[in-house]
Amino acid sequence: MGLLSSSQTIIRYQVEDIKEEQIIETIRAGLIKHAMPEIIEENQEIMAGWVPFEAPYTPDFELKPFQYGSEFIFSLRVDKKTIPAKALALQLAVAIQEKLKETGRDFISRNEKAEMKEIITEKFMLRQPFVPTIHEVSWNYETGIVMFYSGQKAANEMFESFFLKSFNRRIHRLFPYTIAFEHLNDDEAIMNLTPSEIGGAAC
Amino acid sequence: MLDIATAFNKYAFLGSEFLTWLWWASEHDQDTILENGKTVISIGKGIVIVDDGKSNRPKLKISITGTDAGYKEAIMALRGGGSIKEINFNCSIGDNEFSFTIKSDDLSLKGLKTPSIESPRGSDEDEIEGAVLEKIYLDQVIFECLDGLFVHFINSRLSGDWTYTVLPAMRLWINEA
Repeated sequence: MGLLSSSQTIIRYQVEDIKEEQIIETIRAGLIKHAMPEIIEENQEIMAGWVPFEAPYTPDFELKPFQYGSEFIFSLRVDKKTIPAKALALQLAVAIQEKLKETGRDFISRNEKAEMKEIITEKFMLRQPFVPTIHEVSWNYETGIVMFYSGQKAANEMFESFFLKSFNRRIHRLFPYTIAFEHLNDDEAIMNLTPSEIGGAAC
Repeated sequence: MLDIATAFNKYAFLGSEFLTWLWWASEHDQDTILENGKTVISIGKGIVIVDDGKSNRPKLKISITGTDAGYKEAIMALRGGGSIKEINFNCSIGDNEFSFTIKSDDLSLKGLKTPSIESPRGSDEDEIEGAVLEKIYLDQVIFECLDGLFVHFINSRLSGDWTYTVLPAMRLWINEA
């Protein structure tokens, strides 16, 4: 569903405060500072960072470009470990049985169970491989419009917070109200609008 | 400008109304579409209509998909007070053909198919840059077209034209279809 896919998903954003003379250097610094870490932290569940569009698995912005014409193009890579719920349940059940046998008790407290679950989860974390997902970004620095090539809610939320953290710029999602405002710049007129009854009731 | 979260919910109806208008205009007012979006639009192969169950109506979600889909049920759902959540359109801009599903919440696109571009071979940076810029250009073309149509819709919505001309014509379409 990415930028060069035959079937794309695109959510648009507007960057606030787009004017800056040293914009290219600011973006380069932000991309490098928040690039995908090269050292894998095995006990982490999720890792994320910017990667070059042309080299999503070797995040080096000194080697690969991020400026194409009047666009900044790069990707947000999110590496995630997913623990299969049924495998976790199985390991927990086995561990509980062993504990009951060991202690000769006939029950396990809720706290003990939570602790055991945490230990098993940590063991799984060390064994599970990270699965990467790449979400491409194109940012037209003349218009300030950003196209984010993913419809996943979690990916969009992560993108919004990463963007602010990396480039010190807020972005807001484009949706009917903001598009109307960008074009008309007349908040009062828009604010007076109320739903129309098109069919049996208002939309 | 209003707080973004407040505006998102308060004016969500604008997205549904726009998509309903676009469907209606694709069948009854292609001149306006051509003039404001430089395009010809027709409904594609899917629509999702929801009714949130206000005014004591039952909650409802209708999804119609497929190339031979009939839209009678969709019209009936609109007549009953439902609103369009997403709709698939085919769109011709000059020689370029696009198809996409547009969502009412944020007018984002999914399943967007642009005219095909030549895929870059290997790692030639010039070829990659050319392909990427061409694809982005095509994405921008479709959004420009939709923004043009949305701005026309909003201008109409803010004028007497909506109340006295467009809305009655849309109601007639929904009630007679």
